Amino acid sequence: MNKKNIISISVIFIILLIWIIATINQSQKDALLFPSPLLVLNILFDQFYELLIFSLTTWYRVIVGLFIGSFAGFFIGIIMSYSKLANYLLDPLIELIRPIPPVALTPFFILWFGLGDLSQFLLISLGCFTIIAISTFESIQNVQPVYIRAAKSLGADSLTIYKTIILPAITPNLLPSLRVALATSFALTVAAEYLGAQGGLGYVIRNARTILQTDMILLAALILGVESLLSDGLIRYIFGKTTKWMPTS
Amino acid sequence: MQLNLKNINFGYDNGIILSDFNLNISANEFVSIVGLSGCGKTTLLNLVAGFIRPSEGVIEFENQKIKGTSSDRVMVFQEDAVFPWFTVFDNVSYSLKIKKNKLDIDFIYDLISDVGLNGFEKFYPKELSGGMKKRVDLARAYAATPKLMLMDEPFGSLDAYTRQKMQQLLLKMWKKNKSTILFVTHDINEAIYQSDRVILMNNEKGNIQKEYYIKIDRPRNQNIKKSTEFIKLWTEIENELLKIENE
Repeated sequence: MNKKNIISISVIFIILLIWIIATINQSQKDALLFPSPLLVLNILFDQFYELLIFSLTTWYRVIVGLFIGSFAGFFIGIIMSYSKLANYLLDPLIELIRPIPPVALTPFFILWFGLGDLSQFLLISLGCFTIIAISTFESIQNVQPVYIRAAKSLGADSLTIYKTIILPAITPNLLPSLRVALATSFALTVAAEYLGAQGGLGYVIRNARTILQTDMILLAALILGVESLLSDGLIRYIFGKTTKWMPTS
Repeated sequence: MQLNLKNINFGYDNGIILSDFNLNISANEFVSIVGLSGCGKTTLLNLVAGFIRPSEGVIEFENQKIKGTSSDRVMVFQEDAVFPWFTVFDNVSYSLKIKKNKLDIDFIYDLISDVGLNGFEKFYPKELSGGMKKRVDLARAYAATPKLMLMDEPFGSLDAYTRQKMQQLLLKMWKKNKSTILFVTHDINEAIYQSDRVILMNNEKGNIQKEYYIKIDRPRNQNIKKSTEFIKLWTEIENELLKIENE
């Protein structure tokens, strides 16, 4: 373990320790404002099975939505780089959708597509779609022309150039966008659940709020943090594997 | 003649680059093009490579009009064009892999060994020096078995020593692989050392100023650069270049 990891883990433990010490023998009112870790743990063990289902529901929605939205965005980004006409047609549409925070459209999505998974998937996909479409398109514009010319000169046609030059060249640029899209997915999923969708951790938070069950809210937030961290780690791991060729800075 | 450029005109909005340009090159000839910056050297290569089309005139390669790029005419660039996401082996075998023919692995290994990179097959370009990357580039170009090599100041970014090494290597590869070479450089020394013919471009006229046939015996080594014949040629071309500059 290197120095960085030791320091990082120590910081987390110190915060946890401060949290425990600060909440020893707290009054009921204080426990409501900031529940002790023991209360939170207690709830976790108490309602483990239900929480597990709700956690997995949220996670499932995030991943599916991210997947659909990112693929659609990636595909559209490529089409836009391939054809000028497609670019002229799609660019204003994307620029029109992009400034609207998708959360603002949640009520519509629930009205149109119901309280189930479908409206969630569509909403999350929309949020990820614009991020990935723009990032894909711009990354392609920034591929060094000399690589494309070299490939052409060696006999590559345009499909081959997309597969063997453009795709690997833009992969490192897509990582940060995909991480942003992931964070957006979590935000949108929880917001939609909070605003009425059935199931999931957002739904748990909404219900807990009405009865001021703050320990449950805190627990749900912590689970979301863990899920987000793990997903992010997975994305970074996959990208690390596919970009071994990159010079390390 | 393998390559014929007939009455080529080419220009951008801000001026003429090539004007009524004619050039014939025979198979297996090594021709260098020298001239001041902006004299249309690179444009000429881009036209022959098929990246751009002339506004007027015809370019024929083996009696066929050039309509686009082809692996018969491979270009080597001044910039580092080795694909960083492929290993040395995958870079060198690129032109063969994309044709989906059965890959002759021994052929690729031989080429890698010819450019002095045996043992580096599985390395990524990030692990190689600038000179080594140029070697990969050269092997990759020859793997496509081109009839014509188009080289746009390929060694321009290398240090003097590596550059000499690469010139020697190019001459060796040229002899072994039988190809025509059209070599653009601003280095007169490099042009004379390698070529059968040196063409001096005039940037004002967008045309050829003068041609020099280099009759120095082959194989050549670095020592010929000190011979009177070499120095005389060099001085002659340099004076002509100065004349263009002062016009």
